[in-house]
Amino acid sequence: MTKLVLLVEDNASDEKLTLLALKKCPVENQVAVARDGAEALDFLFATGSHATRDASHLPTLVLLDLKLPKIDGLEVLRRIRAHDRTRDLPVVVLTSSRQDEDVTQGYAFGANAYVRKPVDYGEFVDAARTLGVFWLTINEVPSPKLTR
Amino acid sequence: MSPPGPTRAAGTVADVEARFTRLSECGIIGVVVGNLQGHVVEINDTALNLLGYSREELLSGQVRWAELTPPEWRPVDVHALEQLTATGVGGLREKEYIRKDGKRVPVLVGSAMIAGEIPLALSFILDLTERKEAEATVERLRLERASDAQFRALLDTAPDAMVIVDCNGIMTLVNAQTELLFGYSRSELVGQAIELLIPERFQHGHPSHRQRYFQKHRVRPMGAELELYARRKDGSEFPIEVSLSPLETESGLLVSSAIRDISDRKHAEQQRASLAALVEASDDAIIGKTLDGVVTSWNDGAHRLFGYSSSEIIGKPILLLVPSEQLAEYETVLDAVSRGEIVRFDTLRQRKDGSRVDVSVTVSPVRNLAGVVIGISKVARDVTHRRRTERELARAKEAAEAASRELEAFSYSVAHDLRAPLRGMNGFAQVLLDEYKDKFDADGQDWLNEILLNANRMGALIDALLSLSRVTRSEPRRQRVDLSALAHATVSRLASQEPGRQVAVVIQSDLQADVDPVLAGTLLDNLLGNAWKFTAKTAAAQITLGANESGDERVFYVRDNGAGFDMAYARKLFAPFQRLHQNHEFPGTGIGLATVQRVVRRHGGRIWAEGTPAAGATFFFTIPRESAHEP
Repeated sequence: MTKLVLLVEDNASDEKLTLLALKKCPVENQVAVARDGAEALDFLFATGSHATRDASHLPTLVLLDLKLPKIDGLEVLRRIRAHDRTRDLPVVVLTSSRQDEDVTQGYAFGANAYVRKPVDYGEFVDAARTLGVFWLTINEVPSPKLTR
Repeated sequence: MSPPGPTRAAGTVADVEARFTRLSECGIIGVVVGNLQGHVVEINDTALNLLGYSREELLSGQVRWAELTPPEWRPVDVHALEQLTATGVGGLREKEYIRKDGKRVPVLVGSAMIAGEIPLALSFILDLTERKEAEATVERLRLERASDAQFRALLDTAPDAMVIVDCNGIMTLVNAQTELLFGYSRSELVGQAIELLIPERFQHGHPSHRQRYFQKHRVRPMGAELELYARRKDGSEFPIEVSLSPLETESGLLVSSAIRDISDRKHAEQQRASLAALVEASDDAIIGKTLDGVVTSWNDGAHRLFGYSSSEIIGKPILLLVPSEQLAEYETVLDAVSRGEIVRFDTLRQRKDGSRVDVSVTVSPVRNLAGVVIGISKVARDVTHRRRTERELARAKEAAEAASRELEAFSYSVAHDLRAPLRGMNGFAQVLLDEYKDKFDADGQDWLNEILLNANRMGALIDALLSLSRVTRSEPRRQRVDLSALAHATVSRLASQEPGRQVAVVIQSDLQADVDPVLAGTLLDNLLGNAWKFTAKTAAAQITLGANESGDERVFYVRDNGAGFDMAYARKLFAPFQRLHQNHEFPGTGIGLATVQRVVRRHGGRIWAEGTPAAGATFFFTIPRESAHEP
């Protein structure tokens, strides 16, 4: 079954490279891209430009950059965790910053994992593949419908 | 009145006369013959000597005999005359005569009637002067002995050492305090010269002082314009005060001296003087005041700080210094100090010219010997300067923190924003190599590889720079760290990254240091990483971590037998971006040793290196204890 991945990324190059890397992931996946924090939230909650979307169709995994226009990544994460329907959504924080602060804040807001985007593209592909395999296949997420 | 009959003792008149003449001539007894009217008829020389008159004066009647007897003795004569006329014999009587020179002379008188034509009275007069004197001497001696004992007892109760000295400077009497004070017994002192009790350096001149005093003696009270010293039996000296008074005695002039040990007083005076000097010299204002807040003392510091001179303010209320808005605080402090508390606080005071001054004040109670609070002392320090420094410091700190925040933000954007384009360059070059390899010839592929390589290098540089800035960013959090354990972890990581390498690593066990654990990790990662890297082309690679004690300092070192370096460049080693090797020989960023140096300096330590090209390098560093740390 095709897994839906939401990639929240404002950098076009990173977006393309991430898409290329996810293509090499052995798990069949479909990627939706949000280019700022507001769009990400619209997508997840089926509001604004995504008002026509089926809100119950949640992605299996969110790859979330921290430094985003409009609403930053940590705020997006906070709102995901604050909402019943999205509370258990796996979110992997994907950023180029290795700042300790980001790590702590990321986990404090409830990121499931934290992955630093390496400069070396080969490493990045490896990281994306590992991420994809773990979060799209191994990790069992309680269905939001069941938690109701 | 009829004359009495012949005396029983008498024989013939001639016999009587002959005996009388002999008796009269023996010179012991005065003899006077007179008629009953009181005229002297005959008198011998002895009697004349006794009375001091000439025979002529007495026989002529110029001097009336009866008047030679002082009025108080006349009743005795009257009584004797009655007896004489009644019985012919007058009783023996002690009485006095008044001599011509007015002096009195004690006498024993006996009288008898001489019968004859004209009845005459014969009196024998014995001079009692010597006997009376002897008796008086005996009595005086008796009294003296009694008073001497009293005198001694009195001396011994005197609080001072009392020494009585004769005109030759010989001690004749000392009291118990003298024994105590000087450590001599009474018998060791009496009979010795007073100079025994004087320090040697003053002994020479003392006898002349002493003699001068005896010549022109007067009472000299204590109260020394002179600094006097005395010497104990053990040779030790002490300051004294002496008062002298002359004593006129039978055996001549004596001098009584009272000697007081004033060591304690001198000590106290000295202490008071040095305390007073301290108070006067103090830059702080030191003020004494009564419990009512009236100024009682005022030093120069107070003058300088508040502008009032001591004569202007002593006796005035201290409230002159208290601005109206501080009155409530002043009352609170006064209450607390009156209860015996010491109060320290910072406040504002008002100068004579009305300006305000920031002061740090300590107010404490002054107690009397019984512990009762009787006054208040106040020490005030001008803290205007300190306040200004504090404010400046706070501003500087704020600025530094702002700069640090900016730096952090900058680091963050460097990390995030500079790395992103690199990922693009690297990533798309990689995609070209992976997906479009067949479209490039060998040169094209090589150039693509160059893009990848350079992008990776720049990524490493950015990481190293960020790591360097992290070292500077925060105060090291020191704790006891086992560098040996940390080094083992680093070496395992290095070995796992290059499993093919054969390196003999020796790590001295139990190397402890008080160091920030994160920074210690950075330090060892870099030094051991360098050693690992630069031994890559060495056949039997060796890396050692150890420590030497050098003086009171511990010097850690990391030694390898790798590529080494030329000592001519030793100073360049620690500068950022300085590299002594070509990148194709040994890749690197040129930041590692700069980072290491910063870590060491952040801990107050030193770092230096020794090396020989192709023979290896040793890096030494110290991590002093926290107290020696300079920020």
